[in-house]
Amino acid sequence: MKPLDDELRNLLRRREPPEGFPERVMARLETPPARLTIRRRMSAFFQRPVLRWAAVAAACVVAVLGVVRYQHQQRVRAQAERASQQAIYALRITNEEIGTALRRAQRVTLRALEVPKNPNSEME
Amino acid sequence: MSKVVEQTVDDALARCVAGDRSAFGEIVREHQSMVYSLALHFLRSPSMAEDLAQDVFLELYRNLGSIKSGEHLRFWLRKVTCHRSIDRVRRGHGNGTVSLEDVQEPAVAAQARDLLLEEKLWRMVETLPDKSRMAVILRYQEELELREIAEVMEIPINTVKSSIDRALELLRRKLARSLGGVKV
Repeated sequence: MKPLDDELRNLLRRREPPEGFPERVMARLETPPARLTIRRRMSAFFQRPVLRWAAVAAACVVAVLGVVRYQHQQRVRAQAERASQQAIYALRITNEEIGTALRRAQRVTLRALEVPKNPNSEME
Repeated sequence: MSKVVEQTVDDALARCVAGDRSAFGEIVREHQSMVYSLALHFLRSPSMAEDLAQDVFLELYRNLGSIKSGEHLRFWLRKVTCHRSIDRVRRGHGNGTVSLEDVQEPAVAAQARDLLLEEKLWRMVETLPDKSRMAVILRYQEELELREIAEVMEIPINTVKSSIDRALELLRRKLARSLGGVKV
């Protein structure tokens, strides 16, 4: 058996392309390049590795922005809920205070309107 | 390359830049086996290799103005063929798929060469990483020095050296194993 170097040299020796190769190249030179359809152009455009990475990065940015926005909305909703509960509580307290004040005012009014019992009998 | 051929290529290049299309045909004929073989050894598919080789020559035609000499032309063709071949394999085309039209007729004269061994070696070369495989092809097909391979592949010379050494070691080990411990 030959050494590996010789085996590789033999394996990787130059080979001629199929008959008529130069003519086919020249024929392609004569032919104007076929216009690519928009779809094929788009697909070729996005097949570039850089753009593929850019698309992944853009998808990540959109996902992160989505999460941040969702969390912000949740925070705002929680704040609004807390504020409405506080308002209800404040209204309830106010209501109770007003009730107490009204009852007190009624008592005072009633006491003021109370007619003294037979004032002449006292004179006697 | 001999001086006469070098001069012929330089002359064809000059005529080509001046607008002589037949001179471009001469350039294609002169370098077709180099370009086609690089692509064929890397892609392992004659139809894809021809397609890629045609693309490389068409690209050369569009860039003829930037080619300074026959030497530069050869370097340019090797470089573009290497990069296009690696790109094509990375995009998922080529290497591993052999179409019906690529299957050769069985040769009557199988020569004394051990075809089985050749096939085994092919399969082993195919398993090498892309860049190591290309470095090995440039080394053994084109007989390039490490420095020249580094220039063509645009990678550091130490990387070329280590990937070729590693590739050869791997091939040696696999081949020895497949031949039942015979040293190669």
